[in-house]
Amino acid sequence: MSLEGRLIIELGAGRARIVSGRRSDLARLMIGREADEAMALLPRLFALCGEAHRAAASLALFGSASVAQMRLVAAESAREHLLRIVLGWRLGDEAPLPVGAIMALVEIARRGDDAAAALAGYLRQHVLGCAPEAFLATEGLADWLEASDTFPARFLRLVLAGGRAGLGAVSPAFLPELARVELLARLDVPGFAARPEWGGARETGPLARRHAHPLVAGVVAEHGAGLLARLVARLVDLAGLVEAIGKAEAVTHDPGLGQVETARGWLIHAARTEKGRVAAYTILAPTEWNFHPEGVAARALAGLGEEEAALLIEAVDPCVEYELRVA
Amino acid sequence: MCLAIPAEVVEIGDEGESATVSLDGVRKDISLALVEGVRPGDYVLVHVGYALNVVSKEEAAATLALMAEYEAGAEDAEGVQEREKEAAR
Repeated sequence: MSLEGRLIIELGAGRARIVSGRRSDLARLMIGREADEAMALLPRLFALCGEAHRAAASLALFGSASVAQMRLVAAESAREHLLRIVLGWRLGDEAPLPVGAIMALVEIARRGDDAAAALAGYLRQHVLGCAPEAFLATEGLADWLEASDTFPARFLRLVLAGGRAGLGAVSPAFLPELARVELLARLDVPGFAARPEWGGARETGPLARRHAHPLVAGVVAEHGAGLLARLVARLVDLAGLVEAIGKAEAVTHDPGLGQVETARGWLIHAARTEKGRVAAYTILAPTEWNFHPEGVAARALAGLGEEEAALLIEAVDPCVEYELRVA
Repeated sequence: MCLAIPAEVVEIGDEGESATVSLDGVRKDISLALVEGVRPGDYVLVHVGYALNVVSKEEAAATLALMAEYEAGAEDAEGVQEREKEAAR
């Protein structure tokens, strides 16, 4: 089945061309269904980030998401960040991180057990080598790299030693906070969800969220907004999720629009219901911003070779399969 | 976006680290690195060549039916466009 879609990324002549085969109109399956039924179907269809989709759908259809739901969203974000490290960060043949505990995080939160403590323990042992709050309070990356010998620390040291810290550095164009009325109007425009722009192509995700954190800002100041800044932003975001899980809060607002922060960036659902039935439904996923033909990935990949391009693509983190072609 | 497609496990590979699944009748090799205890006949959600988790046969069937509904709708929409183009000629 070709439903999953994929990105085709072509490198050549100092530029990168990105063609998306992703279906941006799957949400039309919701049209004509009762709101409750649509709610049940969406997470089944988008099972990868099912909890984020469930929360966004609940906000768009009913204007509310519970504490328990928002806690699941944060646990799922942590799982996705950790899986990206497992699958995308490579150090020779070294096995990256134990995966069983990663895959269990969302279930721990669903049972109502302490997912924040489970994540904090995992991060201390395997990822950060110290308590998450201690990592977040570190003055500079060099201090952490000196003190920690986890797999991610070794990977970052390798990036630095290989002179790849500034790989794919671009001038940042982060997605600003999106005003509800304007966003809803744009989402009504056909094609916006497949190729979104907000005063040009924009970036969403860990670096956009965490660029002001001292650890990330320090790397950006020294090496630019490139590979290392993206990797560190993911670690900072991950450490911050311990608190996000612990202090999750219910969200309530007018229905119509649901915006949820996921590991890869903003996930946006827009819904219109008539007499309890879905009359219109649009989903805008973070990959559409970050892998826009003129977006951050395309700009960062311009001029890179195959191996470096793969590192950078993994750092930007598409939510679908990609095929890298070198002209 | 973020789709994970259910597939039936046909065969478990050496050392249980990989499996052959049947996706819409097409066989494909996937990694079992992220799941434990998968057996032939189980349905798993597949994403980017990895099995993410095991789902029940019923759940898999419901998801596949939804995906088939989308594909039928997409063909209908293309058909309508084709007919409109024909009519305009």
